[in-house]
Amino acid sequence: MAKIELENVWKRFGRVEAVVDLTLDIPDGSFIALLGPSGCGKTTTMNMLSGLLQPTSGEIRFNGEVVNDLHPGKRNVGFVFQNYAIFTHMSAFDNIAFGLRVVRKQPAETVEREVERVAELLDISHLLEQRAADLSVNDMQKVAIGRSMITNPGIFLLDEPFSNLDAAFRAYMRAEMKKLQRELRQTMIYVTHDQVEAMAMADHIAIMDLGKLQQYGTPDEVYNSPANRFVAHFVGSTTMNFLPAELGATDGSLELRLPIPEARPIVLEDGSAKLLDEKGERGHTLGIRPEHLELLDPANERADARGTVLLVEPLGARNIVHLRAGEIDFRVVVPPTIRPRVGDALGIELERKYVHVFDDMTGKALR
Amino acid sequence: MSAKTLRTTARTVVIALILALFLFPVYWMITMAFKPQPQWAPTTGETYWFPESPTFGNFKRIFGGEPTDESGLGFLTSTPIDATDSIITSLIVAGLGTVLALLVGISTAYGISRFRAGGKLLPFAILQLRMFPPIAVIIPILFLWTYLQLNDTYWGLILIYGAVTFPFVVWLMRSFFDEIPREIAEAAIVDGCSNFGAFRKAILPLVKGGLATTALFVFILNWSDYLIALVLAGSRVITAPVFLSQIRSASTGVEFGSQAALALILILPPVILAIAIQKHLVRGLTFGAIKR
Repeated sequence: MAKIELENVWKRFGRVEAVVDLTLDIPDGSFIALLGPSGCGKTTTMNMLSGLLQPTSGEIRFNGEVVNDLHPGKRNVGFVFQNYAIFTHMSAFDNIAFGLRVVRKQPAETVEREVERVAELLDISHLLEQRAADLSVNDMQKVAIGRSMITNPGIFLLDEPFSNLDAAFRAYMRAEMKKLQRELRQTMIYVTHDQVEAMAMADHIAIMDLGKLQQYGTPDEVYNSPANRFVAHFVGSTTMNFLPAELGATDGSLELRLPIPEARPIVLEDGSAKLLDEKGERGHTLGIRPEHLELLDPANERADARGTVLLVEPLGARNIVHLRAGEIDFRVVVPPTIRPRVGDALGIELERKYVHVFDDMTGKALR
Repeated sequence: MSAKTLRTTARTVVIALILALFLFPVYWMITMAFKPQPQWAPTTGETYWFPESPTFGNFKRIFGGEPTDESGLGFLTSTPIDATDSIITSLIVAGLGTVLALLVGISTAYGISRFRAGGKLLPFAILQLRMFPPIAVIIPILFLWTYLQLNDTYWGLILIYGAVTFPFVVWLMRSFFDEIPREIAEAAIVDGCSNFGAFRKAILPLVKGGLATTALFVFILNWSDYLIALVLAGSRVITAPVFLSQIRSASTGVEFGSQAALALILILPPVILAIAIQKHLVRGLTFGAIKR
């Protein structure tokens, strides 16, 4: 069991800044996802937590104790790699036993008991005698998880552990991991570039880009109140719509004018106007998720803008309608029962409370 | 005959011809080793393609046996010789030279592969050691060895054999190490191994096939060396190839039969080693650590 604190952690490789001033508090027993595109510094962060890399500056603390220079083997962490890193010259049993037997030199009975316990948990007891090289990819990853679990690490680090697995097994393993984490109450840090995975599994998500922490919050928070345009763009299975908007204020309400002919200005009456005061004349972008748009009859007076259907993607559980209004393309997620034809003229309404506004200069969300 | 069987037959014939071309010297050596003296040095100009009345006389001769005079041409005038010491010398210097090259070479290769030791230039700096012909440097090395009093000593040969085969070890082993994902070592380190422990317990077992191949390759190079052993040693420390070249008698000149017998013995260690590590020679068996 361990709580983890990162304080102003930097990692530079020569002139490359891989991790920039990262500060993160991870409570004991929580399940955190480190989410970001490749090259965002999430794996470097992982390697610093495991001790494979030392931070250039800053402090990493486990349970309040600085571990910057502590050898990986003494940190009581388990690490599962994306490519398993299974020792193919050993049996599955020997792989799982490695940490206890070879490194910690435990007596044979202890090793056997522990390996069997772990194998039971992961449902691989029947595979123990097999050569690791002969296992399927799915079983290899289970063995890899077993190997990192055997020492009862207080912190469990998983670096994209399921990205090489097939989709069905990935979904199954996700659920299993979550269950396992609840049972063992370990602090689990999970690196992924798949936002669906992060949303589905984690208590908190830390989103990184270009080595910088962009937002740290619950799946709800990052989804509903993205801190900036990057987060808004990265999170969500159908990408958020971004539209250039001109901001204006009329009697305390914020008014967003879209560059679409005959479009109604979007008026936000919840005191958003104060956002404008300090922001002056900068450009702004309006963001709204495809699921927060509603398709209407073009004659409906609630329609904020009107456009024609470009493309319909039927996904079974929902349809994605691509709509062009003026020069702007919208993606709209609708229930499968709504299936307009290409070329249809439709009205579109933006749900006011889900409208986000981003500063073009800083990318920061104003709301 | 269908086109397919024709192609197969043609291929077989071509392969047989090429094999015959390459194996004929071996055949000649083997048969020569068992020919009595009148057949390997016929005065009649006749060619004996196959030994008539095969004999072990040549083998007895190189291990101190009294030379038999089957021709009456004066073998008896030559003194008895014994190749045993030279074979032992060769085993020692070639074997220890190989061990030395492996010890230094494997560490270097792992350092280069895993930690990029020496930057981009080091591997090529090591490789270029092999790029000039040995004859070009052997005389300066002779001066150096004489100065260091390594000339004509076991250690002198072991050191030079280690040095000249070290680049091979680095380049071969490096390619084997490169194929192992770095996560293998990292996993072992997170489990509590030191860098060296991870290397020994997780990496080395994975490259043992490559290691065996490299060791055999290097051993053959050292074992078959003639030039270096001739220049840097040859009076007190005599390796088998040098000994072989010196088998001659006053009456017949070079004793081809005895040379063939010794040569036949000398190809045995590499052949036996190759058979012993046969399964490791098939590279790639151990390279499934990542299923791509």
